[in-house]
Amino acid sequence: MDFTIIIIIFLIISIVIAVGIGGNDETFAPVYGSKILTMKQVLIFAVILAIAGALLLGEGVAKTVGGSILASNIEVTQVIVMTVLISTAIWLILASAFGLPISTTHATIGSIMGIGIFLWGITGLNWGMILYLVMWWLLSPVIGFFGTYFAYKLMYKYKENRLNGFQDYEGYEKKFAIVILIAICITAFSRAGNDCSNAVGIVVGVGEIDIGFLLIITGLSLASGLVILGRVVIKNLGEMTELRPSTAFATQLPTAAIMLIGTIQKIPLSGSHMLVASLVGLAKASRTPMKKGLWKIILVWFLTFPVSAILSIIIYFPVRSFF
Amino acid sequence: MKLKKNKEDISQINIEFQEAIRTGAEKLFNYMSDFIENRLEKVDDRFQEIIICEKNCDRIKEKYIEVLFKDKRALPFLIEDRYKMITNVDKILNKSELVSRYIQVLPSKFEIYEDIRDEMNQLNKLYLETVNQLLNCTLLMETSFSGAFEITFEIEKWKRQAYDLKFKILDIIFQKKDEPLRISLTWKIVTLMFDVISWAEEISDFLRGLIIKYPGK
Repeated sequence: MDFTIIIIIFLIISIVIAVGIGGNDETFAPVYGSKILTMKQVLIFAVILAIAGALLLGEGVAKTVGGSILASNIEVTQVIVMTVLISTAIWLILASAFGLPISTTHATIGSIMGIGIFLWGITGLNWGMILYLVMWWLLSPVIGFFGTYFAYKLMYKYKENRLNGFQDYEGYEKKFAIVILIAICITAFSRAGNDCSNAVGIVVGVGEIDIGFLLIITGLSLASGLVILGRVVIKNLGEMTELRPSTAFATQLPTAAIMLIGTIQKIPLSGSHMLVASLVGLAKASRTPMKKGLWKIILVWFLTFPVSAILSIIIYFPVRSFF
Repeated sequence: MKLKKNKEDISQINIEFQEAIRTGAEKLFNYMSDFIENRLEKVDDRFQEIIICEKNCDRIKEKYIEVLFKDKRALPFLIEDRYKMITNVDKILNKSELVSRYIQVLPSKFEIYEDIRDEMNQLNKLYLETVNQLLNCTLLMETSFSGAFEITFEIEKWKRQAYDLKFKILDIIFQKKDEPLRISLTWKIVTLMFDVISWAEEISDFLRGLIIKYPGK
C-alpha cells in the first residue's frame, strides 16, 4: 500500500478516536451543572485547555504508549499501528453503543499487549513498564476513593462546626465555585495531555510522522469532539447530578492531582476510573446509596484488556493482507 | 457588586413577603374571632382585606421568584430549596383565604354553637401562633439552622394540640341530634381551619428535612 495513503489512514483513525475521546470528556460537567459557567464559556475553556494540554503535555505519555509497551528490540510496524488503532476504535464504539464508560487508555494498551504477545510471545512486552503502569492504574482509583472520602469528611466537619443558615452556605459554596474551576482546568489540561496517547501514541511509535504535527492534530480533534459531541455529555451529566461546588471539589481534587502528576511522569492514566472511584468515595463518605450498575462498570474495566487484546489479534489478519 | 445587590434584593423581598403573610394571617384571625363571636356585621370587611392580602402576597412571591432566578451564577440547589420554601409558605395564605371564602357563603343565619366557642377560639389562636412561628422559622433558615430547628418542634407540638381540639369539637357537635346542616357546616369549618395548621406543620417538617440535608451548627 502506498505510504502516503497509509499515513492518511493513520491520521483519519487517530482523528476519529480523538474526536470520540473529546466527545466523551465529562470533565466540565460539574461546573456547567452548578451554573458556574455557561455552555459557551465551558466550551471556550475546554477547547483552549484541550489544545494546550495536548501540545504541552502530550509528548511524554504518547512516547510511553508508542515506544515503551512493546519490548525495546521490537520495531513498531505500520501493520501493528493500524491493528491497534482499529481494534481500539471498535471497542470504543461497541462500549459507547451499550453506554458503558470504558477507558480508552486501557483499550489502547490492551490492544498493544494482545498483538505483542500474539506475534512475539511473552518476551514481546516490556514487562517492567507494564507492571509500573499497572501499579499506577491500581493506585490511582484507590487514591481517588480515599482522597475524596477524607476531603468530604473534613468538609462535613467544617460545615457542621462553622455554617449556620442558607446565607453561610451560599458564601461557602461560592468560594468553592472558584476553587473547583481551577481544579477542573488542571484536570482538563492534564487529561488532554494524557488522552493524546490513546489517539496517537502508537502512531508516534512508528516514528514516520512529526510528533508536533500529531499533537496539534490530536489537540484540535479533542477540541472538535468537545464542541460537536461533548456539549451533550456535559449537559446531560451536569443536569443529572446535583453536585455542589464543595462536593464536586472533593471529587475533582484527587483526580486533578493524580492526572497532573501522572502526565508529567509520562504515565497513561484513565480519567474515567479516577472519577468513578472518587464518586464511590463520595457516596461512601456521605452514606448515599450507590446507583445500580457499578459492578457492571468494574467488570467492563477488567474486560477491556482481554477484549481489546483479542480484538487486535482478530483484526491483525485482515489488516496484514492490505500491506 | 451586582451579585451583592441581588442578594440584598432577595433578603428584602423575603422580609416583605413574610410580613405580608403575617398580616394576612392576622386578618384571618380577626375575621374568625368576629365570626366565632357572632359579630357578623364586621365579617364582610375583613373578608375583603384577606382577599387583598392574598393577592399582595402573590405579587411579592412573583417578584421574589423573578429575582431568585435572575442570578444565573446562583447555586441551583439553594435556588430550588428557597423556591420550594416560599411557594409552600404562600399556600398558607391560599388555605386561609379558602376558610374565609367558605365562611362567606354560609347561610346568613348560621352561627357557631355556643358550647364550642371556647374551643374554636383556642383553635383560632393556635392557627395564628403556628403561622407566626412558621414565618420566624423560614426567616431563621437564612441565618440560623439551629434556631429554625427548635421552632419546628414547637410547631409540631401545636399541631398536636390543634388535632386534639379538632376532635374535641367534633365530639361535641356529633352528639347533637338536630340541625344536620349546621353540624355538617361546622364540621367543615373546623376541618378547614385545622388543614391550615396541618399544612404549616408539613412545611416545618420539610424545613427540618432541609436542615438535616445541610449540615450546620
